[in-house]
Amino acid sequence: MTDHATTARPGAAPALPAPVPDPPGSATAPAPDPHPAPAPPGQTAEQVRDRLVRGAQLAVLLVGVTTQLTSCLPQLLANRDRFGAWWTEVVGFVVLAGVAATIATRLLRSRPMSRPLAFTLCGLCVAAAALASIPIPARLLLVADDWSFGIAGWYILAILLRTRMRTIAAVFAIHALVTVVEVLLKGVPDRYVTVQMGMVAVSVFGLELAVALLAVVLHRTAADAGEAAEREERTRTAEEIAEATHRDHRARYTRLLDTTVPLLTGLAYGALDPSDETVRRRAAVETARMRQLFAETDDVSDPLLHELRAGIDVAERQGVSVQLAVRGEIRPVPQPVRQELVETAAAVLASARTTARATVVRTPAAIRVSVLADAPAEGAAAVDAQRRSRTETTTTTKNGKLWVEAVWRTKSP
Amino acid sequence: MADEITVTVVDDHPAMLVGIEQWYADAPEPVRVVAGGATSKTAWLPPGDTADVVVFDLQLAGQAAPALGELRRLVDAGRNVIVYTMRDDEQTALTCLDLGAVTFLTKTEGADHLVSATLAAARDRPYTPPALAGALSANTNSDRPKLSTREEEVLVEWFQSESRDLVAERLGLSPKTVTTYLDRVRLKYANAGRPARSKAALVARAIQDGLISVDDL
Repeated sequence: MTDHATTARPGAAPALPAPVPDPPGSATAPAPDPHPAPAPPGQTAEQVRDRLVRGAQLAVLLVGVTTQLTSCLPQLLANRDRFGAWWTEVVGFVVLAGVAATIATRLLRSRPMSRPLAFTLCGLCVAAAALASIPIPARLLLVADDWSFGIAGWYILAILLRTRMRTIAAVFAIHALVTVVEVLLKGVPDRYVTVQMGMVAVSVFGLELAVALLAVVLHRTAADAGEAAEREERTRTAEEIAEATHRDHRARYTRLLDTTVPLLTGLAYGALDPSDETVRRRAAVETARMRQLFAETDDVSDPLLHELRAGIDVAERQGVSVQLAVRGEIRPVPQPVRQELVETAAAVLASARTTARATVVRTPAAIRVSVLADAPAEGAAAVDAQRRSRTETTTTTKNGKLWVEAVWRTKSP
Repeated sequence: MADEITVTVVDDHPAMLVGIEQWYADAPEPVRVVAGGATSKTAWLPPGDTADVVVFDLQLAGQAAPALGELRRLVDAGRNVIVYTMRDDEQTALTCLDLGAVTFLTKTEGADHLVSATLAAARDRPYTPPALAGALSANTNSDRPKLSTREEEVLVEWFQSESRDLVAERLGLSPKTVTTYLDRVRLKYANAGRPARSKAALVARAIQDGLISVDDL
């Protein structure tokens, strides 16, 4: 006969955190929670990269705007009566100015551009450049009289600096292609003019692509800088945890005086009978507490594990052999969450008959504490009955095994 | 005789050698320990040099650091090495896997896992014991292969429960599917990092077995 049931229980709705077992009259003031939810790894790197690339984008935009005002604007005015249909140049100029304004607003407000918007703006740049060059005769395309060619490239670069080099090159290729088509439609000029055009195109794109390459280097530097910042952050967190644990340690040491000392005095003066079951249970609990306290002098930075070990200790005292396996780096866990995780595990450990396997898996996305024990299936009900607001539990029973996992998710899956 | 799997055991505890031989005696397929010794020399000299599988203790007597260099040399010589160690930390497990060990077993994992791992290693098939699964699931290295959500779940739960049946029960899969997920994860790792003959053999065998297709790579 096998009975199996698998239930996933998200934390019970807005329940208050279960009361903390600390006596309220504790001598020391409650320490501020030393374990704030950590930023997921990689986030710092992301932020650093964001700031660096944003700066580069602003710089490129500034180059573009300066070029448009100091070089393109005078040329536009000079072209007024030269080629006819001057309005197309004006429209092109205004559109490009509009694109620049859009980029500037986005960058200054630190609002990232969606891909569709970015590509629309690039399309506008190419179109505006083409429009502005319509009245210009083929032999003057790309040279100074055709002011719109280079400026469009700068704005495209400012928009796409965040994307991969390949994307930037592709948009530049489209821009170049449009110009080539325009030259073909207007009639290919003399060979020396064409060569000159090619040289202008190469120098303009060359400069712009060089800047794009710099951005690639910037990306890499940003990743390194981010990693360094994260390392530093981890060290700081570890230091803070150590200090908070030390405070907690002293508080608990003081508390021992209230519980252990009366027990010892009771035993010493014969007021308590060692053969009494309750006295023995009390002694076991006190030993577990003291052991935990002594162990913490070795490794103070892993409160979750230490609290779990206390539960394991109690189970071992009842003759259960417990295997503990831990994976993943130490991560700060807020005290209430820790309490829920440990209480769930302790409940299963307490109901184990002979063997249990406790595991802790810590990843950036979640902390999972699991206990598998040869425990009666009724144990599942007891676990489910516990109030939780921060963690989720999953219970599975099969072939006389009870397996409960408590998960604290720091990132949605 | 041709189907017999031969094993060289490198472990500095004589009791371990005897125990391992005993475990192999009860294996579902014939497995014979051809050589056993306290140093990696055993695996380089006859009769240990031709064994199909090397069971290798990382922590050998008189050495403070794990014998990763020795492991690398054995892997580079094309040997199928099962790392079998007291060390229970994930970084060691991941390093061994990257060096090209076919699998990583901790000594708390008993006979079943060692025998299964040996049978799998001799045939270039993947085997992921729970301790290794735990290490893979907690791996945060930037070069970690990309795993599907289901693969991540199977890894964690296999580590937690050490039971395919329980994982299958919890995820609503068949035990065989659980194994397939574990194997696929192992192959993703075989396909990453430092190249080694053992890794290539795992991948090639998996393609033959239809576990993955060339397109998956």
